[in-house]
Amino acid sequence: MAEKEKKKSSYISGRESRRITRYNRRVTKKLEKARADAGKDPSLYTTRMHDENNVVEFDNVCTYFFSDVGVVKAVDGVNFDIPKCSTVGVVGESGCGKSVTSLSLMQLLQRPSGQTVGGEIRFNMGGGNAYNIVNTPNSVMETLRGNKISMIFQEPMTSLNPVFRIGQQVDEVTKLHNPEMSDEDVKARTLEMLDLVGIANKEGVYEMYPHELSGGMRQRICIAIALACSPTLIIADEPTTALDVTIQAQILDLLQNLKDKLNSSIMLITHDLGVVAGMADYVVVMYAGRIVEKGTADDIFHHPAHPYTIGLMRSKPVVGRRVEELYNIPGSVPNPVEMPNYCYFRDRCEMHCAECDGRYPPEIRISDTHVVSCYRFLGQGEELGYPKSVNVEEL
Amino acid sequence: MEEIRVPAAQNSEYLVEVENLVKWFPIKSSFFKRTIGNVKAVDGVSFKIRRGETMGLVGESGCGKSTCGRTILRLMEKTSGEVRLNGQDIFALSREELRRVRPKMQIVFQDPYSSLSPRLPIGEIIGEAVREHGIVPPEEFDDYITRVMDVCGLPEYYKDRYPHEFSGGQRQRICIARALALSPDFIVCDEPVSALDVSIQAQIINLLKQLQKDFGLTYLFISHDLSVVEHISDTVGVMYLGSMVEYSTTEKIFANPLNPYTKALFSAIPIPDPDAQIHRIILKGSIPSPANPPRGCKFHTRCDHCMEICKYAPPEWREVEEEHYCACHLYNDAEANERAAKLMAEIKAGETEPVKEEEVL
Repeated sequence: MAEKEKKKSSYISGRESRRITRYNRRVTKKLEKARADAGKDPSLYTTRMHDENNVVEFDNVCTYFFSDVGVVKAVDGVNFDIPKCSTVGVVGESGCGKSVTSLSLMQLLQRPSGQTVGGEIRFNMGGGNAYNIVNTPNSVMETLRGNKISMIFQEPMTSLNPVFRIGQQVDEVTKLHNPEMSDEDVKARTLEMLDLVGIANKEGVYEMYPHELSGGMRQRICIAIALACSPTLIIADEPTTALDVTIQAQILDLLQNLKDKLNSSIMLITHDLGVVAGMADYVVVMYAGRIVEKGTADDIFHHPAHPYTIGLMRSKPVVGRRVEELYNIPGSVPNPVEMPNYCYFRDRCEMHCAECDGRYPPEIRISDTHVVSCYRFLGQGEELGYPKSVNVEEL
Repeated sequence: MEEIRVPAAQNSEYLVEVENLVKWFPIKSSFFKRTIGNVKAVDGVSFKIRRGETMGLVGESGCGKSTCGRTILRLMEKTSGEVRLNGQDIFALSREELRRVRPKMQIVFQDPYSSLSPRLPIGEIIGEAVREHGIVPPEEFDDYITRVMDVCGLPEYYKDRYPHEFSGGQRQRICIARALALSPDFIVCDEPVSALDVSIQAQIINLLKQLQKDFGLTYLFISHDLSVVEHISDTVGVMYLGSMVEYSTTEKIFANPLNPYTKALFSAIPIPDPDAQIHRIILKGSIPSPANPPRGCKFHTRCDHCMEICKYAPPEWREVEEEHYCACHLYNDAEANERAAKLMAEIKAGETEPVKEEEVL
């Protein structure tokens, strides 16, 4: 019985497949056109910040992928702010949408199949003015990327170009965003950056190719490139996952110091709770495209509220805390194409109650800084409303 | 077959004994293919693993821990040294004898995405070696595979599916089932959980522990994740640049790491508590090239406690406390100090190549 059901769920008939393709083509075309139209009129992509002290505000952001097997709601109604000069950690397992959130902010989604279909991403331009990244045209984005927002990727091995010298690659960013600078000034700036990220032999490294450097050194170069224009926001997408523990400690230490030096904010995307605890001021926990819990690091680590957060913490072995058996969260993440209409975590949850069979739980504010989406806290705090999803049939 | 399966030293306390294992990879010149140097991936490593225990092997990438694991299974030929499984020298076996010993030693690889053949259904992946080695009679084959899959938490109807239909955690279960199907004594787990998510990691670790309890397996658990190693291992060996720098029981090594490298490594472990007071020892620079390791103590270029002697004489592998071995000049006794000083004087006088010191376990 189970076998038949399983087979059914992954099977798509030729007809169905053609229908999906037609639908995807129609919708993505329409969305692309709407975006192009919005990009022509500055009033449509500039807006006001809700709070001056935030660098970025994610407001009900929905990013969907129109794939061949159906619509994948990778990010579905995500709400959070990144305050100035702080580090926000985004935690979750692979496929939970944490990287897609950051890509939406950079507008680096694989278009046309990947589209931000709803919500606003407000990026602070100072004086209360903001860009709504969702509608911002490419020409404006090019002045933001690498200049105001920059990104450090997971794989330092693949994110540097193997055929250009290190110096050229760092120069490129500075030159692009500061065309008035002379070549000597650009080089001086690059050397200064290399010095800043702790490269001792900066003159030598300037002339080297990426393959001559170790993983940790390459990641330093990536950081130097990201910081070359003193951005207001640095997105670090699993910056240390590919590195060794000792090098990880070096890189995290470096990031923390540089953040304070440059007055930037960091959006730190990781699956390692240990890294987040050491770095972040605020923590956002994501599960299956939605935020299940957010709060200060203290809230999340000392008073975790959502069963998923609790499970995640218990399933990680910690040095100095010996347990006979690790807790494991039963089951697996629901199929992203057919998300259930009740709480996504209900089927894996050991604390679920009668209300959980109803619709997806609302966000509940259980303390000034701590927000959780779980029915167990219903009535224990102010309800902030249900996550807003976009109805794909209406697109 | 019997005389191979039940060797003389069957009742010894240790299942796996590694003595002075050396594995060098020659660097060939481009034209004449002359050997112009060696990458000393594993350079004199010795340890023993008791039956039914797990030894954790930790270190940074490139320190030779995977090479060590593979050489122990004779997936690569050694350069020198000795590996004994059940008291039998693995490298002394002929091709045919080795084939018969193979089921007793298995490996689980790091990346479950590339270690399964995409063209074979799961039942065949698990069963291929079982049939080859004749573990069970042909008529019991199907039942046997079902049983093995069940033990590893894989339902029977997965048998006819292909690897691409599974998630990382399930694939790793398949890899474990494949190793387990041959009823091995010894499994090398080469970073089995580092490609997996935290919650899936916990499932796989629990599975490995359960199997160890049920079948009395012995593991060599290679990992760079120290918290996982602490959880699963009975003893831990720390490697740096091809050499073992410290070896002890898990309790001792985590409570009281001796070698400065081990100290730095352990202090770098991120702790999921924002208030945790960590005194991080941030190591400078990165790991030197194993083709041209520094003279003397290999760690002296990055060490906080580097002394004059460290630059010349390689430290001896000594039992500093009971069952706690360490190679560091800081823990030398008078005799060892004398020997090291003599060696240093010799090297300084002649500026000859440093003499490779015999490591004694």
